Amino acid sequence: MTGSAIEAAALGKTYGRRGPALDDCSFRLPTGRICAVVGPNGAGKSTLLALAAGLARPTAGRLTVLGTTPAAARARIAYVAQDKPLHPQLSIADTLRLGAELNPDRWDAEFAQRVVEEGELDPAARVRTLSGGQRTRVALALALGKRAELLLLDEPMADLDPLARHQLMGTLMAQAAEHGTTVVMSSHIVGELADSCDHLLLVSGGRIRLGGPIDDLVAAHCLVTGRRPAAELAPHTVVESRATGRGTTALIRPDGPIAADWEAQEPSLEDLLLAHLRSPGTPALLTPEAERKVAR
Amino acid sequence: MFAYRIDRRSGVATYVQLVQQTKQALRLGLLEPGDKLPTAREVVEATAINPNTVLKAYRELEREGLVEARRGLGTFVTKSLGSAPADSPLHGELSRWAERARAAGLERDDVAALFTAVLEEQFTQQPTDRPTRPKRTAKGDPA
Amino acid sequence: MSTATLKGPRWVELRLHRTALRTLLGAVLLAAAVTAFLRWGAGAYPPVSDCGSGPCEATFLGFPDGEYLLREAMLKASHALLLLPLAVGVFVAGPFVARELESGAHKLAWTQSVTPVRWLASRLTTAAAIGAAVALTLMAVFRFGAADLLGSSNMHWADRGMYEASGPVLVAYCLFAVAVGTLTGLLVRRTLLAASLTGLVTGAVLALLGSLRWQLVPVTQASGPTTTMEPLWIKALPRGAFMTDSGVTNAAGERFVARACIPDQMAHFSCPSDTRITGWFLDYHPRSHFWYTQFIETGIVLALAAAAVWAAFLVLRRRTP
Repeated sequence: MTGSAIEAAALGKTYGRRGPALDDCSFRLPTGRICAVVGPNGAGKSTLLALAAGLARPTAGRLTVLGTTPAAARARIAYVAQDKPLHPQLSIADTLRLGAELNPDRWDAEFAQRVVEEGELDPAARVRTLSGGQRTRVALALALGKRAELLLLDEPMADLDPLARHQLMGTLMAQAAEHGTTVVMSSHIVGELADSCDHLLLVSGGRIRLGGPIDDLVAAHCLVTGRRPAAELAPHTVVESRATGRGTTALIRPDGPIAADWEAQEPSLEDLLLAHLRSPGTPALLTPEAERKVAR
Repeated sequence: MFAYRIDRRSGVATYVQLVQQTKQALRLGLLEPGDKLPTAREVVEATAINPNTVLKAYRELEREGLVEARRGLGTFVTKSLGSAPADSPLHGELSRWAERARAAGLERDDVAALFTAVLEEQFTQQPTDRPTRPKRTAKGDPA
Repeated sequence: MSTATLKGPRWVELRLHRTALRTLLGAVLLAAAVTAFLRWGAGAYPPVSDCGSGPCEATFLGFPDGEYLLREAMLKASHALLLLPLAVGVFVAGPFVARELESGAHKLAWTQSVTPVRWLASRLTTAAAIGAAVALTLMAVFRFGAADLLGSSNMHWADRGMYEASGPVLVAYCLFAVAVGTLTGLLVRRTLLAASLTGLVTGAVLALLGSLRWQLVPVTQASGPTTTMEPLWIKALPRGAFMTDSGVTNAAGERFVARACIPDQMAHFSCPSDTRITGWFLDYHPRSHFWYTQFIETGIVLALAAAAVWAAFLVLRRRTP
């Protein structure tokens, strides 16, 4: 069995008097996965990544990263925050030097340099003169140069043009293919990550709604259509049902065989995510792989 | 170097696209026995798809006996897929069948649908050729 | 300042604040150059004792003499050095610590291989080293400039400014400002607010200890018999000493101010019922108390600084895992 990149046990985080940003989250992410953390804005995605990056302390539960605490794993994790923080007064070259100085044992200067060069950026340019997308590239170069075992990227592609997005995603995937790096990327857009990711965490309202390999999650659901009322789907878990014409269309988690008068289809990833986001009452589903191992 | 191209709008699963494109290249002679397929790293760097998708496609090709993975060296083509030559008996039979269909008043689309249906019937055991969204009536992965 | 030989977080800090450091270096060099020039002027244009009839002609840069200008400048410099700890605190709290937390750039620093605790320790030691170096250099420049003037009129060693500018307390206050600035920057996380608060706190501690410092070491007392109001204590006051109290006593040993109680009690003064003078008294700090006071005050300020450093680490540990 492969190790865990992230393991959360009843994890919670509350900021001040506001309601919890994360509440009772338990899940496991095996190493070597490319994981999409998907959910609406304010769902808790950023909080989850910040906790894993060791930037904040959980207020409840436990979080294990690469088999240890986030603090102890610091050197093996790279993190890019959503706002891509960099020092505006530094040049790109000095920003990369910063990466070298702060990661003396693992810095890959050549790789970081290449990521910057592929964006045709002038190393002497100051960060404050860069566009949003160029800043993102520099922030990613800094994260990639660290040669981390776990890459935590908060909305990494939001500011990038399609060409840069494709090219940087390719670089990320190559890094993962070559070094078995675990990549966790958050996004509120599903399509952007669907081809690159093989694992999914759906977060909404501070809770994990779905977790597991994308193929397994999709296979665990059925899109059914039939000229019958939704009530007849009772033995199955109905995520969402809608009256269509004379009948019903529903996304279900089948429990036993589906009656022959329903036409069943495999849903798309998007069908799955949207249905769950529209129906917050649906029980969470974690595939066995995404469930936290219980100590025996 | 042989390059894959992913069509995100086709609705065909990405790994199936990789398998189909490899086979197409074998048929067209773009790849021949002994040729090395691009490494997973090269494919994902160029296409930004998930590395496991490439590995899944290569495993599928290996299972079909078309390629062979050699540890530490890469994946190599072991078999060519010669298309049925134009003067083969099969071609003649199909040609005559098409003439009959036309004489029976079938349109081009009708013939294509019929042909596809027969293909489905005869070749369903090959998972790479199934559509991405199979119709199902029962729980469980059909593969 | 060369950053070529520096490594790790230290390089980052100095590179990030390169402009500020260059400005600081320039200011210190300028202060030294101006002081040297004024000292040269004081020697080259000594006071003219006899101007003949009428006012003296201006001799040095429009001032009566070189020494006059040096004295004025050193007096101003002694007051300016009082502000040095405030400036250090404001810079450390604002641009050095809070700005990084405000802009979110700390997320960059804390997710490299360096722990937040090491990040803080490095910031503190860099700021402390630079703060102490600047304090010591400026103190040396000041002592060089005021060497011949100390003890003369307006330049008493116990004066506000003069006292701080010429002893280790200046370094201690700068270190205190670094510590408080760091703590405030971490707590407040807003550049302007943190800088203002640190300025206020540092100023308040400077003012408070300034008014308490002469009670840190017991005063030397002198007394003698007398029956007159004549200020006999003047004869007992050693040269250069700092007098804190003087007056007369009655037979019971009660102290009072002769002119305020005899013949009648003046408003706002307390007088004993028996106002017959039997002796005089004098409380003063001799010159030697300068160093005792300096060291005790330095100790107190450094202890406060240590407490602030400890609190800063506590705040950081609470916030990060």
